[in-house]
Amino acid sequence: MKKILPVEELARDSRFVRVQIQEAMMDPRQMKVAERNTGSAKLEPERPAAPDRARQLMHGIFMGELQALEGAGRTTFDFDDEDVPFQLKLDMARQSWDESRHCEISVKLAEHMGTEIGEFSEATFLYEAACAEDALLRLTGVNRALEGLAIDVFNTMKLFGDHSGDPVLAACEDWMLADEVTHVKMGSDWLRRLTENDPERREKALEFQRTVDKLFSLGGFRGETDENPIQLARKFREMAGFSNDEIDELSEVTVEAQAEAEAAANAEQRAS
Amino acid sequence: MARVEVTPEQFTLVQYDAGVIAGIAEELATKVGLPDDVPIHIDIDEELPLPLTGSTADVTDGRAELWFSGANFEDGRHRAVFNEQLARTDLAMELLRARDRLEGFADAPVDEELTDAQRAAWEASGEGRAARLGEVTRKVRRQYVFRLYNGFTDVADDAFERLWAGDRFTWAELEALCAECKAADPRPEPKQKSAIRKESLRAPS
Repeated sequence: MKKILPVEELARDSRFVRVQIQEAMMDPRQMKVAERNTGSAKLEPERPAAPDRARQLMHGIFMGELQALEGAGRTTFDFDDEDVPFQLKLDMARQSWDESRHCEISVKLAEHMGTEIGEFSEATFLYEAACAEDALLRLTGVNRALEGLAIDVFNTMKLFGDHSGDPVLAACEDWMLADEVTHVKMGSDWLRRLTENDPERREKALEFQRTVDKLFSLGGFRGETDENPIQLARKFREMAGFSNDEIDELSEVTVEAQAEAEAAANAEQRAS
Repeated sequence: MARVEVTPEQFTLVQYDAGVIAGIAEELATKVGLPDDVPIHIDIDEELPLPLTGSTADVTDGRAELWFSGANFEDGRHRAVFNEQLARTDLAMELLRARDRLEGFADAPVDEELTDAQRAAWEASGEGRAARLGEVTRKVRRQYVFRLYNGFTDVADDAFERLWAGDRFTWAELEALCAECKAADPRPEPKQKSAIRKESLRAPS
């Protein structure tokens, strides 16, 4: 069986349509909406279009879980015992099992909200970040950066479930959130162990994490202000092995990502 | 002069055709029983992408005034592309609500002043009737919206079924149903109202 499966070869049926994330971010309508005063961007039942915002996010979570399953599965398979410790592969196998359960839960939650699988397009950048040839980069890029994003997303959805009084959504997100904390902690622990005597390699891996973190802050999608739909979940990140300095640094990265997106939008507008 | 007028006449940000939308609305207006002498104006805000959906239906000076976010007609899988099935459902639902305003809902406030709960209840009734007219509808999605604003309770689920299955409601009956749901809803009062989607999402003038 082939190692390092390219994104084009992921198995999908005709329900799924792929989209490039750049296409979505450069949609001229996004810039028009940014000019409007639509108040807080936080996901709350009182926000305009809250049901469809939540449904679309839930579908995005499902797609993320599917790709996380594929990514963790590949990491279990792509590396031989001489490349990485067997215990690391066991952790990835355990994570695959968690992600497959999350896929099933997400499908049920989507059904609960009246969403069909494939109703929204799929961006595959999560899986693409999980294709690094160095296992250490997968630990930082996927387990610490992407699974860290999952912590932020699940916490946001759990709070949305709490606020809207939806017991099904709140309970399911809480369970999945607990798993994500474990996945991030696996990444934090293995990063420390594998680079115990190699600070240069650790720094390189952390640099990759910062790149992925910035990319996945999606120009203000995630942050700590009312302008960010997804809120940085400090408490859960601490539980997952992030230091306060690391969380502060991530917060700065999200601010930078937002500023860069706004600058790009302004430049685009001036050019048009 | 055509019975249905669509604004804008030309879309620049999305691949929608005003003529196609007017044609669908014309057909649906007859299907839902909106009187022939009621002109229809449909205003579509093409700047709003998914998931920023929203719509209103009012009758002003004898004219049905419908407003839609462009997101309501957008195919979730293909950016800025028109989805006829979604458009038909939402047009049918809002045309039914416009017809309601001519018979039995005369006391109802304009759409901008409805609460989230009232809007969700009225739309549940509208989509249920659209389903019986043969339009493709999504009951679970509508029920989720209804629960979000009227409570995740057995009382709300029962009210939703009545709204979905009923063919004739008055504004007073709809208000009473919402009051029933509210009495059974353990959640605190919403901090603010989101139902003024048009106002909240409208472009700066």
